[in-house]
Parts: sequence; structure tokens; C-alpha cells
Amino acid sequence: MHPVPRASLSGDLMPLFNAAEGRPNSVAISCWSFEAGERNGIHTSVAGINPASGAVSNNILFGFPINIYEPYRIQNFFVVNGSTTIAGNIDIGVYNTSGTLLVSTGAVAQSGVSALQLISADYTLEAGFYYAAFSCSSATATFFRYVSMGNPARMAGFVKVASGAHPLPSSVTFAASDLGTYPVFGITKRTTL
Amino acid sequence: MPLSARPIARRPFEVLSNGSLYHSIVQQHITTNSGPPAAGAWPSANLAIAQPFYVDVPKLAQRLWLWNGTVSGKIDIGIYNENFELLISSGSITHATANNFMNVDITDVMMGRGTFYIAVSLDNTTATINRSVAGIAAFQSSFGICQMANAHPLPSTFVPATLGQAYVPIVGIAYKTVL
Repeated sequence: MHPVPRASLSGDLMPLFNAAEGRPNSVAISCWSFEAGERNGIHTSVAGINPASGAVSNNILFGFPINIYEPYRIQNFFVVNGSTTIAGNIDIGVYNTSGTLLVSTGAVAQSGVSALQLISADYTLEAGFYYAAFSCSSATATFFRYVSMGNPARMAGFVKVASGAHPLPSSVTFAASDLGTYPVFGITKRTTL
Repeated sequence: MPLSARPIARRPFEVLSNGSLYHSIVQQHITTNSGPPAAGAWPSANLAIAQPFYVDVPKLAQRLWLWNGTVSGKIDIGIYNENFELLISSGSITHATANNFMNVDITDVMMGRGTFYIAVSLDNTTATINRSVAGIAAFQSSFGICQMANAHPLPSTFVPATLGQAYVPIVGIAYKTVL
């Protein structure tokens, strides 16, 4: 029989899984990974969820929650670029629950048509709850992105900052997301993907 | 008094597949939204494709399996650890059991909690495997799926490269002898 860990109602910063009992964190974490929307059953709620190439709103922060069960060394940020226009800059980072930026790529030129763009990093997240975040400077740059996300994303705890979010600010106040599209971006502990 | 909470119960899985939301790579999501898996020719001779699996409870792996279409030539299926070091494999064996599951006997291995990769390689492009083609190669790579050229039989160390095509074979681990 498993020991029964104890959690209090105020324990919102503790990882939702006991690392010794749950699965390891994914080698790459995006908004559909188990650590994010997937564990909230988001896949069951979104129609047409295959990602497709298209533009996303610029200067907006796209954020999704991630549960880290044990120390996780980020070695790369990634985004899946779209199949047509590649333009402007992107920024990918991780915030704590207070809205403080912990690590980010800074503004980096988008590069590579239909490519998995990797941006190296070296930062270790301790077990806990965080938000992964993305913003871009161009309204025409294309990314592979999920569509029809609106309410399912909100119920999974996705967040946004509606303006002035590129490059990613050092401190933000998150709002609940009502964004219909989400680019495929995330973090990985691998040096290559 | 603080609430007490049990951890989410671990179901006693006997078979892991890459359709598992919990143990694999959101393959259910990929597969469901591209329709059911369909057989497609192996992308190139001697190519190996590896995909991550997450094990939460130590258990004895007894078989590896994949979902065949047309059978041809030789196949090798094996398990790598998170550092891409080969733990166990079938070796190069005859690709058999057309249009059905190929249940491959391996030396039983206790898999502890951790991250592993199941890799498959074939020596030809006549063989077809049921696979997901959702999205594009870069999208599938974003789940940690990777490939290695000139990798038949499976090498002792897998050198991961970004997928060259959208192609994720349907594979898994069995903790029993019958699938």
C-alpha cells in the first residue's frame, strides 16, 4: 500500500504529484503535454486540435501551466515554426505563479520554415508550479498552432497578458486566457530534439 | 485540520502503448485527430525511430510489440535509457505477422521508474507499419520523438536527430507474454 501524503488547502505551490509515485516529467513539455493541458483533459474538449500553420497575435503573452514534479533542467526552449512567413522576433520563458520571470530567451529572431526552432538555455526548475510563456513581435509570422482553444484553454488554467508582452516582461499580472490559438512551444531537458 | 489526499491511483497496467496519455507522448492526441493509425512504408532503409516512454512503477517487461502492415526483411526493436544507451533489444530478426501485432520476446528486464525510449529499425522500405502522420515532422519532434540513420541493427548508443518525416510507429511494452 502506498503511504498517504498529506496536502493542505493552502498547498497550491506543492507539486500535484509525489515524484516518488508519479511518472517522470516529459523530456519535452508543451501545452499538450501531461504536465500542462493534457492532465486537465483538454484534448477531449477541443475540436480540430491538430496544429496548423498560421499567424498568432503579436505582443501578447501566451501562457500555460506546468507541473514540475522533480528538479527539471531546461536545456532548450522550442517553438514549431509555420510553413510560410518567418518574421520578427520570438521570446519564450518561464514565470513563477507570482508573475515573475525566472528565465527567458529574450527577443530572438524567428528562424526556419516548418522547423523546430531550439534556443539553448541552462536553468533548473525546482519541483513546483510554473507558467511557460511565449510572445512574438510580428503579426504575420507563422507558427504551428492549435486552434479552437478558447474555453478549453481557460478551464485548463491557461493565461495571457493582452498587450505589451514582447519581449517578455520581467513581471506580469496574468489574466485568464480567452485566446483561440496557441502556438506549439515549450521547454525541454534535452540538448537536441 | 488539513485535508489528506491520496496520490492518484496507479492502475495496474499490463501493456503500455504510445497511445497512453500517461505513459507516453500524447500519442492519443496525435492519433485521434488524424484518424486511426494507418500502415505506411518505412521511411528509409536502416532508419531507427525512437520515442519516449515514462514508467511510474517498477515492473518486469517481457515483450515489446509493434503494429505491422506488410512484412518484409528484418526488424529490430529495443529499449534505451534516458541517456540513449541500449538496455535490451530483439536484435535483427525476421519481420513477421502481417497486418497484426508482432509480439517480440525479449530477455525479461525490470524497468524502474524513469524515462525510456522504445526504438524500432527496419532494413528496408517495403515493410509497412501502422503509424501516426499527424502534423509535421517538427511537431512530432517536439514531443521528444527522434530518429537515427544507419541504425540497423540498433546501435548500443542512439544518437538522436530531428525527425525527417512525420512518422510515429505504433509500439509498446507488455508486462506479460500474451498480447
